[in-house]
Amino acid sequence: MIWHIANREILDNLTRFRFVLTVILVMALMVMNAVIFVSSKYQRRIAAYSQDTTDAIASMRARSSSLSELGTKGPGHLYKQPSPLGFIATGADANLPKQVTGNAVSGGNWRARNFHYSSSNNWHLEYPQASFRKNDALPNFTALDWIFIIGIVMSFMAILFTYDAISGERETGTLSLLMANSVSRATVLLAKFIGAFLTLMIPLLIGILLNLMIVNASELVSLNGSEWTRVGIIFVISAIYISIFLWLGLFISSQFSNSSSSLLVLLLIWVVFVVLIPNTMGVLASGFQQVPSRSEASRLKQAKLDEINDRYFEKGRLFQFGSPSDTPPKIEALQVWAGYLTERADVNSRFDDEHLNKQFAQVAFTQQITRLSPAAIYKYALESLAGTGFARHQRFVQQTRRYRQQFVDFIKSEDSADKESYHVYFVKEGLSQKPVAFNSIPKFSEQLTVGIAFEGALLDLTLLISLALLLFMAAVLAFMRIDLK
Amino acid sequence: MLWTIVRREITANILSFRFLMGLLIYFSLIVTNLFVLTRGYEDRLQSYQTAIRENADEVRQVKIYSEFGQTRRLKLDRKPKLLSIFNEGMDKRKGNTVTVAHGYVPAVAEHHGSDNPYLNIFASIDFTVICQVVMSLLALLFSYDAISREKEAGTLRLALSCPIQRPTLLLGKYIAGMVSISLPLVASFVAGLVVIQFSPYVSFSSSDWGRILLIFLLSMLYVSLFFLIGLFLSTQTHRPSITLMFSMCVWVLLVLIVPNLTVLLVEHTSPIQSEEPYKTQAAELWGEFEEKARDYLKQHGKQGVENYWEHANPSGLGVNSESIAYGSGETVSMRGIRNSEGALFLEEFYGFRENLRAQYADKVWQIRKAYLDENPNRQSLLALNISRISPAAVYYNAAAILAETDLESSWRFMEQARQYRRAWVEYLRDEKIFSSRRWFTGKDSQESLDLTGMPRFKEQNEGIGGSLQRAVPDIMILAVLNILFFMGAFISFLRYDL
Repeated sequence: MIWHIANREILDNLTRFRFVLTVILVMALMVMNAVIFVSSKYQRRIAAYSQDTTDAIASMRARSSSLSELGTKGPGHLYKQPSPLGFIATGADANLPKQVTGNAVSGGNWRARNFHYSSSNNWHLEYPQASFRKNDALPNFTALDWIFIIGIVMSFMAILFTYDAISGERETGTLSLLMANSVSRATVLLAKFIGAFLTLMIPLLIGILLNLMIVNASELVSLNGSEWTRVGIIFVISAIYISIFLWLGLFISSQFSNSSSSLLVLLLIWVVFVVLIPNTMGVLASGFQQVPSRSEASRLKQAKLDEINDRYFEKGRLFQFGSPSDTPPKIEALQVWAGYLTERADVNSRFDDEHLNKQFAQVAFTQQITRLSPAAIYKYALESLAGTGFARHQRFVQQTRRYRQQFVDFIKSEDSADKESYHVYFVKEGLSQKPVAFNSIPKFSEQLTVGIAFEGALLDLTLLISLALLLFMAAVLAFMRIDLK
Repeated sequence: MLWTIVRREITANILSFRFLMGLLIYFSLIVTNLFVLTRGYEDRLQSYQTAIRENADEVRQVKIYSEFGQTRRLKLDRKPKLLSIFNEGMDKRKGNTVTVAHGYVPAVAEHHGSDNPYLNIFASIDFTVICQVVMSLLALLFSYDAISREKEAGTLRLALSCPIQRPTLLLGKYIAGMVSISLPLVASFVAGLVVIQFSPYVSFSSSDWGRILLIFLLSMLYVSLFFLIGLFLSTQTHRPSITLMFSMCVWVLLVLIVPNLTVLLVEHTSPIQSEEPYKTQAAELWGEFEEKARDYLKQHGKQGVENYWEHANPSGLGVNSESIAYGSGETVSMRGIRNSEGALFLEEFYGFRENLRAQYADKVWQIRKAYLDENPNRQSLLALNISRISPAAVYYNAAAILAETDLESSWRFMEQARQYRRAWVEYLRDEKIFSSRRWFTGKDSQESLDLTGMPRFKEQNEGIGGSLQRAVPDIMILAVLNILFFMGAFISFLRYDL
């Protein structure tokens, strides 16, 4: 019986004008998305990325001529790899930095009586703080990706497919007729859901298949097994997301006896939760969770650096053992200077890290608030799986920090192998002057497995499923209580 | 007769469920949003005031003129626009502070440093966007069934069997619909204004009131357009459910898809080219400048000394110089000059070189201007023009112009900053500061400089007339579309089959 009703619903839907509209709209958007992604967006991004990494490797190779140089100047720029699944979730990539820098920027020239030393600062990780966008005058409402097509357009269509499912039949009186048969109400509701769900899956499937075909046909993007699995999970999540709006539509539709009221309420709910909430919360959050301003943060850092200076300049401590560039240097001079330079780099590192952590915490907090909206939850889930967006950026930064430790360990272990070195960390003259085998230097690379991606999306997936269940129960209850008189 | 229809329609609308819902939702959205944006404005105003204070402190600490060239360049700040509460536009997105020096022409503003740049991943929503999205939807929902439902219910026949002409009926429906929609708009606007007035930082001037009124009228024009689109579509079909699907489709296209698509298309078809060639050109110019300075030393037979400052034979010296692609500068501070003849020569030398530096900075600016005009600025204008396909974008842009938060306003600010730089260079030249002793040494380092004649920066705001004039094309587009759709609805209603 349930299939009978569902069948009727599907046939009814298929002949409707709104079905044609949905198919055309979704197909056009999906094709456009894929074409633009492969023909320009990804191409440009990948070209820039490979150029950047080639430059970074060249500069690292130049530094590998001596371990001391490599150890004090650092690994150079570390770049975030563009995700091949960027067409699914752009993740505001244009608004996020694409690299972290591990470079020694400047140095100092020191002169005192019988003393001359030109030091270079030790490297520490630096995070870009300016606006990251190439053209900040362009609006950044959303991007035309799956998140937009499914998260916004398809959810809208889901509402247009269900707003009159119950209320419309009540208006025309066919609901009473249907109930006069020996079917339970739950069956009717479920059949209506299945009907609408399958009807919406048709344009979605066609759209996604077309999209993936175009993406796959280009030589630029070749998706591997892990990526296909992620696309599969994304499809399942999309289906759950759409069913949330279908159940919402059925729920509201059972609450009203005329379809124009149910439509109005649904559209307003949709506008508020899908369009407005994900976008308004940025301003709100910055009010709740304040981050010290950049000038304030740099003031604090400067105070700490000044304190170190005072400590080392006191009674000429820094100069009393001579310059590290004397031949041969005194071991005390090396130690004092290593201490001075390392402490400064550590302070820089610690303050920058902390400031960035606070900024990240603010963004994460904002994301938490926006999870009021199923569209935002869906967006974060897709971003986690596609490996884009803020969560990915956060993970990227974490991995660069891990790499920093790995790099330092490598320098120390290489250095301990050289007997001529003074083994004083980290001052240029205290390290081995021998060249390093370039291939043995650890290179920065990010790993994103299905496991990690799925773990990141787990919370959001759970939220979506619970929401779907909740609305399902609400719809069933509301439909059970309808008075059919 | 017209008024009877209007009254009937208004009563029907106001008593309807959709009116109540629309009012409630719209009211709460606008009031909370204006509250939040007022808070945001207060924050930005405070950070502006802090920046102004810090800059004044910096200037007071200058002991030697050449510090203005490099280590303590002048900073100009842009006051956040009060009406950004209604339309954020570029006010938050574009930077709000610029650095000015005789060797550096400002071209791109930076942020005060109080924002978290990572928050840019969230788009923000203001009064205009809510109007753009929600009001247009409400307008369509009020009008999509105006004709087709009456036709379906059969009441259209009844109404027209009275001695009413079709135009009267249509006009009556339009007027009544607009009155009922404008009620939630007015109510939320007034409530929002009350909320804003509670803030101690906000006080509207009469021109601000004028602008707010204009923005309100503009919003009405925009809402009316969507109402007319709904009315037009309603006269095209005989079934409200079909009209509904059509109008929702139009809405999704115009409000959501087109504004999005234009950005994508513009980034796709006319991407921003690399800045490197321009930077190289600029660097060459700076090389030429260095060359000329060396020539000057040679001509005066002073090239024997390795570093020119040693002519003065100072006992202490600090030099801080920088030459980035688009600017250069050098701060020299000497203590205990032992060769006064050499110092006289240095005065002449600096007088020549710093004048030259200012000229080269102007040349370099021309190169940078070429880059900006051909790349980001051209792209932004292109995006703006293409987005005018959608009335939603037209409306947003016109509102931004009226609120002084549009792109051109931010360019005006940059232009004024450059004018200020010219005045500053003039001042340095007229007072012969480049060739003064205080350029590179403090007589007594505690004595601060006499800067009474120094030009002050104040942003000249565009008058309300000027803004209106710039907004006229966009307003005209909306007005013409209004007329077109009204005529369309009118004609098809005359031919409507009862």
